[in-house]
Amino acid sequence: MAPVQVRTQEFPRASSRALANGRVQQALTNVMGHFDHAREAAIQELTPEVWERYRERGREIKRHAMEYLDFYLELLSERVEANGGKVHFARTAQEATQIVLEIAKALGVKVAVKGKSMLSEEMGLNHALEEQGIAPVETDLGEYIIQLAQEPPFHILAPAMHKTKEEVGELFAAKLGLGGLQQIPDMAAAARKTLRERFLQADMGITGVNFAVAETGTVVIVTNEGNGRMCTSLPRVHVALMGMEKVVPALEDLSVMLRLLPRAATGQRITSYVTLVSGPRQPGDEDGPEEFHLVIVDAGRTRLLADPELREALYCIRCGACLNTCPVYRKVGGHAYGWVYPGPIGSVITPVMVGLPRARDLPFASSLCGACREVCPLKINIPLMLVSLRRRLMEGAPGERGVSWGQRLLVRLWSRVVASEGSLRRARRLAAVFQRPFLRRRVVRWIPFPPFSRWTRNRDMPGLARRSFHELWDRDLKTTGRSKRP
Amino acid sequence: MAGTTREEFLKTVRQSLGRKEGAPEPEYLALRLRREDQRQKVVTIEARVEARRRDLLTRLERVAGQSGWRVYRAASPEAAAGYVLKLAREKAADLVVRSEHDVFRRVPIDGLLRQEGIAVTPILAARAGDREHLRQEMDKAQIGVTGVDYAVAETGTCVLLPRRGVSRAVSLLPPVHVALVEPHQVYETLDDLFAVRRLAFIQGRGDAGSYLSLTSGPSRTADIEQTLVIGVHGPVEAHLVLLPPAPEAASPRPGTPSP
Amino acid sequence: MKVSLFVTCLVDQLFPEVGESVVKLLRRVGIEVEFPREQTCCGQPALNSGFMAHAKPLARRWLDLFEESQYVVVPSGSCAAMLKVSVPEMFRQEAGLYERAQALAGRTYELSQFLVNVLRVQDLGARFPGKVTYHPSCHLLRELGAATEAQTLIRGVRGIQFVPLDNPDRCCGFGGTFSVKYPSLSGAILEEKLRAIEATGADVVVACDSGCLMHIAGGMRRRGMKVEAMHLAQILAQTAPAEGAPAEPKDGAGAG
Ligand code: SF4
Repeated sequence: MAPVQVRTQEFPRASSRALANGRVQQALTNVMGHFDHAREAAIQELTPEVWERYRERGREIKRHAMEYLDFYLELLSERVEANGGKVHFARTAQEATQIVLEIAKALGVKVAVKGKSMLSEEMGLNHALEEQGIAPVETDLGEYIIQLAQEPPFHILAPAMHKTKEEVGELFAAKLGLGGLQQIPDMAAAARKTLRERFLQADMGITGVNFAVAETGTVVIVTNEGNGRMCTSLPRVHVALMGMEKVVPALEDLSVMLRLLPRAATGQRITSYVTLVSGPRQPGDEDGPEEFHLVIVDAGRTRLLADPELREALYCIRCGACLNTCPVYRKVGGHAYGWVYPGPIGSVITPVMVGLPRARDLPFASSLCGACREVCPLKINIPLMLVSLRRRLMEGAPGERGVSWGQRLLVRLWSRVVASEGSLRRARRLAAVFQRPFLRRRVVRWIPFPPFSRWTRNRDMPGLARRSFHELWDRDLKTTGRSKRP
Repeated sequence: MAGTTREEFLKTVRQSLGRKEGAPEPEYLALRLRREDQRQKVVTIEARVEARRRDLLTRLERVAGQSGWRVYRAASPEAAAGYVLKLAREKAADLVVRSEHDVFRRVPIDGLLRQEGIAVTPILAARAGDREHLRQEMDKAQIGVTGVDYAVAETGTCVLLPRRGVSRAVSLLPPVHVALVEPHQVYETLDDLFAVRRLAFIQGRGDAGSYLSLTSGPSRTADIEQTLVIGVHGPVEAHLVLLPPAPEAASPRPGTPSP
Repeated sequence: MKVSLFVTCLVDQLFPEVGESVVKLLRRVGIEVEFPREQTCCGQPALNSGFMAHAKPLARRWLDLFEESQYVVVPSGSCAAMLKVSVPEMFRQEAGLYERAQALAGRTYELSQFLVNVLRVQDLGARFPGKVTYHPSCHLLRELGAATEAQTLIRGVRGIQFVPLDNPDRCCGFGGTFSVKYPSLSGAILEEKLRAIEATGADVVVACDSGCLMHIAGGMRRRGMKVEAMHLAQILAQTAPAEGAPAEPKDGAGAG
């Protein structure tokens, strides 16, 4: 089974490539604004005060659920089984994949329709199913498009947002033999028709889980297209994949979560469909799957749970708001991040999931502007967690450390310089000499030494002032009670 | 079987939380409310909803409209049936499927449509037997008509609780869905809805029903260029028909507290 | 009232005229200003790059040097956020130090917040003839929650024409060491900010952080834009322009 490709090491190059890629830039410019405006409008409609109240409550629900995660997972699994479902536990993504494969094989599944599930991306599930001769069919339109294009998702919410309608048209022509589609509604209609057949054909429906209610043993699936309802209603068996952090204690917690997620994600009051599944069809039900399997997956999440500085990352409800607002994501898009979860929250989760040294560039891919924290419906303090990861990379145990020799040396040097006013003064004198050959009218346009060379690549750099503030103070400012110029 | 045992899995979780033993049952308000308290809570909700009924209907109408429902306020059950007929004609429908909600006792669409030569199939497995056949019917039908079990004004939502006579697919497969809503089914908020459902869960001795479907408008996507398209997998048109109150005492809803 | 100025390393070394302006305008409103000479840097560059061990001694220095101060005023939202938010957090596990840091953090203010929220002045008698736009730097805006202070002060300046920036709360792309770790990314983010600045038609872009201003000014110069970047203090320090002198501080464009 091919593990999911991890390309997190390539972020520096991949991000530069994305910046130079006109098509990606165009798509980002066209699309990114929509999300932000929609979210903002939805919050205004609700009023920011009420929004703030829901955020606090949502945070409290998640904080509590994580603190008692063992209790609620046990309760959840008991209740799902009481409802006639089967619960599986997987410590790793590979284990989760094995579970799904075994269920599929036992039932002789040929076609599996899938709802959007980022966890299944972690698992590399489609690939594994194909290897076993089972056809996975993504049914979320965006996922369907990127499945046809054989690409990873670009965004956790809008996986194909980087594709223009022309590209989608070409894709449909090449892969489905549906030529001549030019308008977006026609493409959606074509997908409806093609996928409808697959829905009716499929033996297995695989979905993600947005929330799982422990008390009632219920999983909740939030969609706009209705594919979630299809996957959970038509095939003989429904397999729901959930990261273990999705659990909430009680049914009534859903009202808060369902107010937060759609607004933060797409600016909707609620999505077109919210589906609550509490097990397989019951005797007397008209339709629905005969079997319901819930796969509860760890895959690195207990590492977040055990980490007091990073536990908050498990509050994430994958709304995508932090991606949409992040100046870095808005410039490089999702593929540059090199794994399943892009954007600010991805830069926190990914290093923990794939290993910090391998993803050492991600925690630094942020200006720490704090916009993510500001928009996050769960108020997750992403910048603080990024700084915490940076610290591990620089000061952590040998296994966590990223090698960055140059940075270490620089910070030592700098530390010496700023250790006292005297050393600063001496360093300043030295620097004044050093900068002279590069100064043109008090400005440095080019300097060959890093890190300064990395600045002057696209910005001018001011030279040292003729006198430092310390000198000004001693000369003019200290004694006079008044400034000289009126 | 692949995977990890529950015990093993929970042990890892427990360790990550820095606990040796299992957690004591957490003090959590929503869970602590036992049957009697929950019943009281729902009684209060019912009273509030009753007192605000008129406003709630207006709000439902407004919000549902904003969410993409085509809302029709029927002056009478007959008018509602007429609306369905008009729609069937517009769509040149030859097959309409419907659920077995009580509301069809008031809104006699079967006869009206059949008079016009439009076939109506009530989805009740016991009557028709072959599930595969029923599913094909639903896939072929141009219109699916259902009652609802609850509606929520806050979000413009119709809630269906699939069970005997209430297929999951009637409101899903046909390109047009018509939901018939009775005034007494309308709640104010999502909190109300889940409180009522939680009571039903407790009263049903832990039976949550297999499925609960919240629908707030037609199927939609914006996955290509963030351009909104209505009608991907689910209905392209969603009609919400708001009925006048029934003259006699309203039929009890699933979650109504027993005295 | 007596204020201790924490001038920040950037102002000290590159933009002393900003510090000069701060002293000037504080004195203008009758405040006694002192400058603890031993100060260097708040340590933020180290902390945010992951070197907490290097940041801590600097935070200690600040604590030791300023502990007796009645108020500490900092002409930078970012450094003020470091001192007010991150430093106490850094000492959370260290009994005694934590309380001391908390106490001093409570008396430490970013300049515009100090003027508006502590001194409660909105009009500093400044005069600045020019078309000005304002970029709210991220840490000032989000960590210190200063949504209105600077604009209030700008609007109080005589002769000034204020033009709001499009999407003002978007980051300029500076981000401290981020600006050299990912220069092209930082530059691409800056590009949008520059376009927004250009669109206002302003002669001057104002901010309360010399780091962001250095980045913005560096980008503007590189593109040949004729807009000046100035620290809020430089605007507020100006009263009537001297006879025949241009309406800028003598050291030119402040950050540029
Ligand atoms: S971190 Fe917050 S904003 Fe980002 S996806 Fe998760 S919930 Fe949404």
